[in-house]
Amino acid sequence: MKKPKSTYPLVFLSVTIFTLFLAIFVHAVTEVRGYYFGQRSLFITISISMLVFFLFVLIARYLILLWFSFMQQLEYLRQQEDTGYRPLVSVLVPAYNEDRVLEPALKSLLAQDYPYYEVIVIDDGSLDQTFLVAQKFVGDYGNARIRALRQPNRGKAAALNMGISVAKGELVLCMDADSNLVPGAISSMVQHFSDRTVAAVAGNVKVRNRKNLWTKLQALEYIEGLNMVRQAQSFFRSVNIIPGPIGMFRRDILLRVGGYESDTFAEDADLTLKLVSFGYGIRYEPRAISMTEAPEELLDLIKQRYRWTRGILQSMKKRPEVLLQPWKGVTTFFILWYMMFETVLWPAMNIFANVFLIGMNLAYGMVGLLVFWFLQLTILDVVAAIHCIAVEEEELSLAPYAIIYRIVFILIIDVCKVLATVEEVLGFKMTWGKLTRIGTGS
Amino acid sequence: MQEFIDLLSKVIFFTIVATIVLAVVTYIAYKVRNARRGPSQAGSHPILSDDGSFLEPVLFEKYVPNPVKGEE
Repeated sequence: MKKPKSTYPLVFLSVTIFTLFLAIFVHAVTEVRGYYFGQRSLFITISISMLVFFLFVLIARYLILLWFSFMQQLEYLRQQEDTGYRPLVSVLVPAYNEDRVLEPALKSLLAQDYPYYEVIVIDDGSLDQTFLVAQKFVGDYGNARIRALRQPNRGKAAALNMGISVAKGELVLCMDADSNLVPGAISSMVQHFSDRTVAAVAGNVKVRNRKNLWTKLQALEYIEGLNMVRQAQSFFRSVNIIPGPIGMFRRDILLRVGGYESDTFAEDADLTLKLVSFGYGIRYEPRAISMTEAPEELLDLIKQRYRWTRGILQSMKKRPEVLLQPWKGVTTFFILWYMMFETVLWPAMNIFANVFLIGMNLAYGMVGLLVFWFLQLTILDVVAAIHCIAVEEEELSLAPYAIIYRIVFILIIDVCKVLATVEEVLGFKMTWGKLTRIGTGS
Repeated sequence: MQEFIDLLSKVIFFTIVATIVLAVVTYIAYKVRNARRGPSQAGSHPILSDDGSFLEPVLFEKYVPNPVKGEE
């Protein structure tokens, strides 16, 4: 298994840009101070105070995440290469109408270097040729064996539970049928389980179909927004979402906690929160890469994020005692409030800040404030993007997308999150919105 | 320099407005499309293995683990 290479030049570049950010930050604070003391309106005074608070929260969030992801990276580089622990692994592939993408997913599984594993495809009542595609692959392949099951349509959680119940492996790897695992993914995840306190390991999800603006922005988001957070959380052994495209679990623990539950629209977040609330350790493995198909159209992206937001809120609503009783588990309390912050509070604050800046620009002509505000945020985003690209050894060509990442991509996602939160609070009915699979970029 | 800042502020301003409008319109379009679609159809096959045999899934234990980290 390959260890990440040295990334010092890019880290140095990040530090240089960060220094520039600090300079602009000082300038922006001076600018805000000028407006703050130059007028008497209570509304503006309160609004600017909130804006400055927002700015400090944003910077603190970035610095904390960057620091702990960096610490985790250092610890990870010091870890032992191979523990010699190689139990049987069962790979579960739940599939519903996935005949276009299942074949490359199964081929990627057959390319794994792990010595001893089984693959179980669970067709969840598909209307297309999914089961026939799976049956073509059924058989023994030396180190791997492929099985195919079929069940009436009951949803992804039920399909995964079906797979868990018939799996023979001590460890279970759950993945999506539209995702391809990079060779070595299984081996790198298994190493973590030689530590008995680890119940699950989250893998590293990357966007496969980087072909237009939306998919490239999502590729950057997965590297910067999602994986950096997981890396930082892994330092505390408390990753808060094991992603659907790649997550490995101890089977006995899954059976004991009752497996996946079907009462939310984010079964992966729900299971992770359940494991965290029981006190189990969850790690992140950056070398276990799953290349997944991201939504290519904005409408599909909104659909996906709407489901994620409502699903995460449903998972949190199931555990009010954890949110309100920190003495029952400090880590879990912190993890849930962090999720609440990222899902509800932060998007609302971001939209408020943007609307406020528009209003100030229109009403008072605060041109300098608007420019310096976005200049510093953009620099911060570019620094974080370069840091994450360096750590993940990703394409540097994604870094320029950080310029429009916040002002376009994050704003759209945050509007969707806020509207989805309102619907969840008001109890609007929702259904699973399955994305149309393109089946490209395999 | 001031002219450049003014120009930059206009670009940022219109980008924010356009993005918020785009996000809200897309969200409404998604909700409308979702409302027009009827309930999704799905197959109702029995639970079968690849060799055609019937499978009875193992029931999950109703067990609450010890909340001490790593304790089973």
